Amino acid sequence: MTAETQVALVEDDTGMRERISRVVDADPSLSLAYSASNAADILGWLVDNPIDVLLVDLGLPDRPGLQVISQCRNMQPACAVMVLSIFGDEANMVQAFEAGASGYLLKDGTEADLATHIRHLRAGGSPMSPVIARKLLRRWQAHSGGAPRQQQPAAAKPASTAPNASAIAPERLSPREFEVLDLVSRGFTYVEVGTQMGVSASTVQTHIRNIYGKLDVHNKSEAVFEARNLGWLP
Amino acid sequence: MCTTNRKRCSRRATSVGFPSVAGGIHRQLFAALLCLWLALAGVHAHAAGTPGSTIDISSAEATLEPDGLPAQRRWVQLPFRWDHEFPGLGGKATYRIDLPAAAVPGDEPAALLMSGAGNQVAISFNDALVASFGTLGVPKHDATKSNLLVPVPAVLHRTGQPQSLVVRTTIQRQRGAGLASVQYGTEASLAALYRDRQSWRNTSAIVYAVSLLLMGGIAGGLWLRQRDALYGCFALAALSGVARNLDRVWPDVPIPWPLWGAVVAVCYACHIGLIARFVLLVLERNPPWLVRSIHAALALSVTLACASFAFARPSLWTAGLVVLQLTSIVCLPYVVYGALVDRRRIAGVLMAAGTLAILAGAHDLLLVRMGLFGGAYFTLTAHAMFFFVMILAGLVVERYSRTVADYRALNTNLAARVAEREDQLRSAFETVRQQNQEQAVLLERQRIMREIHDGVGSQLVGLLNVVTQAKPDRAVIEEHVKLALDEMRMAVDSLQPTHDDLPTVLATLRYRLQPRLDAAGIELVWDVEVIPPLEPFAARAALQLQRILLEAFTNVLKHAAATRIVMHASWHGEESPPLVRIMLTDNGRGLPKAPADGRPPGHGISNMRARAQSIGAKLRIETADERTGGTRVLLDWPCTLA
Repeated sequence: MTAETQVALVEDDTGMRERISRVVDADPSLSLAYSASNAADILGWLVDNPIDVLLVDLGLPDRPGLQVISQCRNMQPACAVMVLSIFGDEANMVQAFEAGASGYLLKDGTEADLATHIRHLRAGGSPMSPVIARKLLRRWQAHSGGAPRQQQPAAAKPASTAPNASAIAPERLSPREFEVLDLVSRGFTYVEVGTQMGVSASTVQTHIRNIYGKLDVHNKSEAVFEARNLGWLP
Repeated sequence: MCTTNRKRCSRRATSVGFPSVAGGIHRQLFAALLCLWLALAGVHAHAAGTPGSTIDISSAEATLEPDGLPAQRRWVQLPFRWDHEFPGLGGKATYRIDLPAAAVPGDEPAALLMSGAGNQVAISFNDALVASFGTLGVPKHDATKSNLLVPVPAVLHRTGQPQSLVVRTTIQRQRGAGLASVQYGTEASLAALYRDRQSWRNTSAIVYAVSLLLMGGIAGGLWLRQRDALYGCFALAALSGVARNLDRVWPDVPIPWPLWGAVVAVCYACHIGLIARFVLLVLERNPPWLVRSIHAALALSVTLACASFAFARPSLWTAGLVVLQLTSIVCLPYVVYGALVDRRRIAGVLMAAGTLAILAGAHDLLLVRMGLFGGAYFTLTAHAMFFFVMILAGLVVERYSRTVADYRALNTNLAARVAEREDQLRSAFETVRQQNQEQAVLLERQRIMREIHDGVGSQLVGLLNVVTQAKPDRAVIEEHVKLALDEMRMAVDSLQPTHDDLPTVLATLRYRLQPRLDAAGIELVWDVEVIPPLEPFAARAALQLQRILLEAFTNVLKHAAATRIVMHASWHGEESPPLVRIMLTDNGRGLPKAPADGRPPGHGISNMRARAQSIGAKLRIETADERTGGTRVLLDWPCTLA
């Protein structure tokens, strides 16, 4: 890593903001470029300041955190967005992923691992809890027209059986991606998933990243269209 | 035929007091009555008119030979009524008439037209017998019932002198004999007149007879099914009215005279009396004295009719007719009251028909039978009575329509009530559903409260105990805080919408614990098989499972000094009942020896057992391997699939 990873933060809770600032400052590979307490501040600052990682609290006082994520993705596509989530709220994170987030951190007293997580994210890794995996599985199964629950991921052919159930049906998952989701939802670590599937852990990471990517509307043509409408793209 | 009379009376009404619905029908009925009456009058007028090329004979030289009295020979005016001259007597009568020579052109066929001649007739023209109706002296045939058209062959004409006509008749008592009219003229004109009269007389009688039969039959059928006195009364009245109409057109009745005369008279009395009763029933006005009076009058007139024919006393039958006429007149005020005071349309119709019938009855009684006020030959009662047939038809139509309307209204009403009940049921169901929902929310809230109280709460109480000690042990505090956090996370996890999915519940537990296991250097072998979705209520139990396992993991972390934990979970649908089997095996130092003082095993383990018991699961804690040690926690949890 030739340069420090530039990190920005928007979080309305002062105590939490200070704890995160301390952790980031303490890590030599990370640098806290900006810390805001509301959406307007951070969005204004982002216009002129390219960064590598943005940490977003979803419950901001002035605007929904989801909007911040979405606008940041439009303004700085290279920036990875991580959500600061309260404990147990993972099930509601799918919207954040759809808005373009690629990872999340739990504000449950384990911020000590924050630096590790950020480095992971920069390196291409994305965390996924079993609850999120289960949510995503159900989401895609619902969109694939009530396909049977996948008890045997290897036998599943979701990609081929998923009709366009709704106008905004998400991009289809591959059978391997379904398998990854199923194993993660049952508690297996990435390494164990890789072993079971006969691939490396980094391949599993790639699958995870792709799954998040398929949630991100910014990866789709509608997003491009939307961006053009907003004048962000030529 | 003798005859005369009638009538009806009454008031108040009937069954039918159908007010407005009925209005239209009654108006139409009334209009129909008027039209029919006018039509009848028109026919009469027409029948009475005589074409110009005929002559009416007004008198005849008669030789009258009543039984038991000396014969007499004298001029009689036509119409001549034997019964007026010799009441209660039969006999013979011969009429000699000289017809003017120039009445008919010599080259045209001539004819005679007679009415009311009888009862058996033989007609000679210029001493040649030209026609006979019945056999003289044999009462089987009654020639008075029809007009007699007698063609006279031209060859019989005597040119230049009067023609001699001799009509010889034999007569039975009380049979309406005599000589009503004689017309002489060309055959063409008299034939037309004859056809008019016959068709009028026959058609009306047949129409009335058939109508009475039909309506009487219908009313009888209705009475059989409904037992409504109104219908029964009309059925009897109508059927008894048939006899007289039949008699008008049936010259050869097989029943001997005067028995047949008595039968017709009795039927006629019944007809009139029952119609009067019918009117009262229609009006639903049945004052007992009047009803009794009608019955008494009916019985009296029937008796008088029988006596009249039995004892050859025409005046008795006349008295019977007077009784019936008076009875009818007595009823009339009730009808008028119903029509004018109660303003009932049906009463109005009845008043019209009843008035006509009473007038017709008076006409027949006074003019025809008694020959008063100049006398009359045609009776009108039969025509007037026919209106009652139409009234009954109107009543039936009205009642039927009303019944149909009632049923429709009933159906509508029922449908509305069904809909109303449906609404009530729906809202009751909605209420129950809401209550159930509120109940479910309440139960869940209580569960969470208990969760927090028993979990985080008790941990914080323990922490408070430690902190308030004189010299709190920092490590112990940290341990307590971590446990409190674990409890809190557990409670929060239990609120996840995916908590009904056992593998995810177990996976979440691992996800939370993994950092601590990693930190302790303990390898976790995860062997969780596919477990089908469980029944939703079992989801609550899943949290207890999670806690039992958390306790087990915590025990390993704290006490076992293990380096490896194997977590195994599998579904055994083949067992009865089906169960989830969870096995947690470590390679630590194994179960502690039972404390020397005989105290029960650790608090944590008894907690695990209590939790297992609360969800109906079987918990075993045993040594994993006799040689290498280690501990195995085995949990069999019976549950059902979703």
